[in-house]
Amino acid sequence: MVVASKMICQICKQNQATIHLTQQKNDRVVKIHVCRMCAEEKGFDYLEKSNFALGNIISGLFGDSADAARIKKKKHVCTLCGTSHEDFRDVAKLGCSECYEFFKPHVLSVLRNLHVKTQHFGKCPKSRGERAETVRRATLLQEELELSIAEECYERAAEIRDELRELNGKKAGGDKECPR
Amino acid sequence: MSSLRHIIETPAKWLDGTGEESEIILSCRVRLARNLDRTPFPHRAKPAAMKKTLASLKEALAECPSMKKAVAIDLGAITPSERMLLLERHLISIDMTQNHKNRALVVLKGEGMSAMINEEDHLRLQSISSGFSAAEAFTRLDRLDGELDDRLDFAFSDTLGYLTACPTNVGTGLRVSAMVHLPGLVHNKDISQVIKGLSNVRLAVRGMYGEGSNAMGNMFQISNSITLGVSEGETVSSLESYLRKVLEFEKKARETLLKKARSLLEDKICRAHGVLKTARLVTSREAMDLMSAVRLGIGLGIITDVSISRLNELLVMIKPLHLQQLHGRPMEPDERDRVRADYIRSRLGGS
Repeated sequence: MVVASKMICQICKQNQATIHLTQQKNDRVVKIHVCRMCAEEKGFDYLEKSNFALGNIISGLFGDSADAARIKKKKHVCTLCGTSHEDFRDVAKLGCSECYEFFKPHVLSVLRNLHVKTQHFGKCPKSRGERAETVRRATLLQEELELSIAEECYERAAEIRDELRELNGKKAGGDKECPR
Repeated sequence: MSSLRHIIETPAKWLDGTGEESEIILSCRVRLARNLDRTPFPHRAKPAAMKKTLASLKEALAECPSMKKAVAIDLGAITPSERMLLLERHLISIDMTQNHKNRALVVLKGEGMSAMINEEDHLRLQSISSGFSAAEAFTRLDRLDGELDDRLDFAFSDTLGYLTACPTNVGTGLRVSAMVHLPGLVHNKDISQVIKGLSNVRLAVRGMYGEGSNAMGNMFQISNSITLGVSEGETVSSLESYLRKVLEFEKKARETLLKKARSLLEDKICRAHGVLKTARLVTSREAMDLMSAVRLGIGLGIITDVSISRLNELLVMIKPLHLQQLHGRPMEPDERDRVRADYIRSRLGGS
């Protein structure tokens, strides 16, 4: 289902599309090409887990996906500060640090419009330095991995995959020390 | 009030004109936005929570070696006029003049470094230096940030960086801005091209008092608008490199102006100087325009008996609330224009 080729993301029209999906719908084949960042933002970064519905993804391209709508309905206010999705939309401000996790898909979409990138590359609090650096390195490697696959450099892709596995192990270890 | 009087009576260090290229680049300001983890941001916080945040941040700041000689001013404990005065000195925001309960300003003598508590974010740290000095201002503020990091648990995400109330500040929470005087580019009408060019590289250009304010006296504020995906060092050096370009363009514009119409330019500058030294009524806008001409005159070596620091001091002291403070009572605009003219004459050795 995931194939490699050089294409521009159909959502942001800027980045290289590294996730390519095809599905038979009635009697025609529907194809979608997106970058990893947009896939995450639209809430369908779980595609590779195979149990997705393309209908949801397509509706996600043009508005709220069925999944996002379900999340919105179920958890409509931030449990720490009480900010609702509507509050965020109306005043364009988050209510607390937890809101960033709570409204993640929407926040990422806003951040990408404002800043282009969605990965912090600056200073970290002393207590978080090592873990934040691991996350940053993993993001860079993930991008490189997708590019290597797209360019059919499978040997390099395998090396990156191994390095990522090691880093992800570190991240999981860090999670225990630094819960968020 | 005694803390406030202490501030008013001590001139701000960043106005002393000692920095590099301080005729064109008045000052560089650096700001960091920080919030406490798992604590509602000020606009969502209940009064009791705001009070608690205020107390803990004041305590943390008081412990920082960088803020050893700072004074804390509770904005709810001073008058509306005094809050406006702090706004005129670029120490608090417009919003804080209205929403002052459970909010405070902690400021060092000389105003080189300050912190707003419970503004849009729990903490807004600020450092200002004279002239081309963004890196210097950042180094100082970064040190304070480190000292606070030892004492507080900041809201931070491994992927998004420092978390702020407004998504425009998320990441580094860093805003670097320079206040620049660009009469040459305004005169040759290249300013709109320069502003367009700067916005293409994601730098914002505004009037002297920030967002929503107009450019008066050919003064502009240039600042970064991206805070996510770039490091603090890159942000500072990128702004500095574009600032160098703006400086170069402004100098070229002035050279051309001198070549084309030296007499006309000299006449305009000397007349402005003369008006400031003799006028009996001066509005704020007129004063800003005339002072811009005198400032240009100093830059071109046409005026030699006025210093940049004196003009910088006037920029602040002729504002309505500062004049009122000098005069000791509220004034109507007409009376203020008279007091402003008197003050300018007295500071420029006029008659």
